[in-house]
Amino acid sequence: MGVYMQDSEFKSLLKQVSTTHPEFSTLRQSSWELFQAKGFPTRKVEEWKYTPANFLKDNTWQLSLKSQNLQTDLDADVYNLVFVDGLLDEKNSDLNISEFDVSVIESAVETKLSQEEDSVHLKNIESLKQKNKDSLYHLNMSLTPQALCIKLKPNKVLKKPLKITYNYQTSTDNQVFYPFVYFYVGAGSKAEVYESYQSTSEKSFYANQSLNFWVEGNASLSYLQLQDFDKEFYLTHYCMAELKAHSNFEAFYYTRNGGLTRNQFDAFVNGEGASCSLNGIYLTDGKSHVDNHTTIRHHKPHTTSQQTFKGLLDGHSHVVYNGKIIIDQYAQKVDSSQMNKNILLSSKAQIDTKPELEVYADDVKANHGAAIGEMDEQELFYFLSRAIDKPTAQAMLARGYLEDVVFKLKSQNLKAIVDKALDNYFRGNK
Amino acid sequence: MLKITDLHVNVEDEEILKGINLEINAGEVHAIMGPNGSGKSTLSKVIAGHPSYEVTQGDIQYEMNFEYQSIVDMDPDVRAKEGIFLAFQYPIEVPGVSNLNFLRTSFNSICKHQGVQEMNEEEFYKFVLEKAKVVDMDPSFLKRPVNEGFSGGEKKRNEILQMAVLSPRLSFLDETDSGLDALRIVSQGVNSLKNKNNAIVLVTHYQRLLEHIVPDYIHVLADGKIVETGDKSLALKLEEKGYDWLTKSEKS
Repeated sequence: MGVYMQDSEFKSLLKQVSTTHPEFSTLRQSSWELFQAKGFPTRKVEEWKYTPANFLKDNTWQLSLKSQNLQTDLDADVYNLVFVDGLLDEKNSDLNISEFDVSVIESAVETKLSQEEDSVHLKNIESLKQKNKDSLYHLNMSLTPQALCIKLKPNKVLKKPLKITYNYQTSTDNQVFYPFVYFYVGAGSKAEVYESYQSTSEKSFYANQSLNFWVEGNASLSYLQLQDFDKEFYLTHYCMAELKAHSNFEAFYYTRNGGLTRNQFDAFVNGEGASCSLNGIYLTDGKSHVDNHTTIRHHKPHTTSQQTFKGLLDGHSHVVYNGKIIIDQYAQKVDSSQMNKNILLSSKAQIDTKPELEVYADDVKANHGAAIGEMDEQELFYFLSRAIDKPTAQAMLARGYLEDVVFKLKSQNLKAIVDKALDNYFRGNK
Repeated sequence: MLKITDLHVNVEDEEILKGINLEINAGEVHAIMGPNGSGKSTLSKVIAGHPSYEVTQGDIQYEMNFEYQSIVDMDPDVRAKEGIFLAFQYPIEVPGVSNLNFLRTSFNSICKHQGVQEMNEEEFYKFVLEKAKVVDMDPSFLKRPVNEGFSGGEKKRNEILQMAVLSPRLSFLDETDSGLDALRIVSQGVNSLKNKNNAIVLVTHYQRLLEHIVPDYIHVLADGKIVETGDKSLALKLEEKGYDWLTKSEKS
């Protein structure tokens, strides 16, 4: 069973990445032990039944610790945080925003958080870590060269979205990257965060990313993961979210790429009145593989969650959706729904969908469902009969099919980004 | 404008139309009537080019650029660009596409085909507001998704709005089993849109539509054939006697 590296190698690696925080080193150590005990996921693990994890073992991935000085396209309408080949590019990152404090644990960046504050966040990170059972999440935590902590102070509204760009420009094959981001949203604060990818590298690489949200009471956070390019690469992405009382959290996944994407989303609805809205669209073609694994756990009463994933599958692409809602025994009056809908544009495309409900309380509203179909011939004929040519009609119908998911995004800034990506997509496909 | 000769049509290998002959000229209003299952809807769909309907015999000739040409192998969008319009019996709901966007794409697609300047969003909105007045439609329906959540009458009104915007040369209005409200809307629309350059064909089961519209010709369709053609007096006879006398005489 896949031992990634020898214990001695790990220890020598630790010396390279570890500098300041003994507490984080403890987290690394325990994560490493957990990873070693579990090894790489295989098809025998239920959670990885439909996504081929053999790429992890079939390649000799090299951990990249070289920081590079590379050009990244920066956007003026946002606050930028840039990772180049998995390492924070301080020069191109906005590290001096009055609303938030940035701390990079174990790097040379001067921390704005006190040692005590860092300790609070490390406790939060540890709490999230204990809830994640997936070995790759722990692999990220053991080997991340930097742990980036961002703290949004209480009662602040972040004026612009925070854009995290992952720029992968590796010049050698089989590089692996482990960026780790923790984002704390103080009580009553409001922020928009989105992750975006850039790469012109022709080399193969694997990014194992960890994104951890801690959303305090009455805070509001909107998050978008935007993968919008043809680059073939491997991505396993973990998003963890702890939601306190009366907080609002929304997440949106936009996935269009040529490689393998495995998104795992875990939300812990841990305060009364909290709400979680999780939505996504995927546009797959060629041999791309997109897997969305989501779990929303309602631990407290009077909480709500809603999730809708929709996609268009073309070529030989393979999509996996596994959505799980868990409602605890004491979490009464929970209102929760999930839906996954797919349109197959090719007979070679494949979907494995599994919406799941685990309800232990007796006074809740919960529903779930899935649908797989083809493009509606009657709708298409209606468009044709109105002089609209077939490619335009198909693009309009496909766009219309996805529209209700996009409409669920409450953050207008993030919605505009998704709309623009869809405009480009359907313009290119017409 | 349209010449149908000995038209035979199959749907899933079953013959529905069994030799239709029909000629329609500019400036005329025709009504095609007949009992349920006689093939009325099939006829309108085959004119519009629905892919499920297969022409096995005969021809449909349509006048384009002053010349009759067969449209049997023509794609439905090209037929529409050439001025053929079908008002659907059951207009399709299309979530996620706004009525306005749908109409403008349709309109501009015809403009482009005919070599006329397309309209931008602003120009088109003004234009469509005028047309909405003609069919008595609330402008709020323009921003809504196509037909989604519309009542039966509102859907019909939307079809007539499309007809008003696209100003087709040949319209088939498939009206079988529509409600009273819809009949009123359709007849108002037809009366305001008919002119000497276009032709309108009403396809209906009910004689009462003819209380509002006076067609030049009435055709009775039974078992895939036109069994009787006459003027408006035929409608009165149908009202009195029903369809049985026609279908029976056909069989004997």
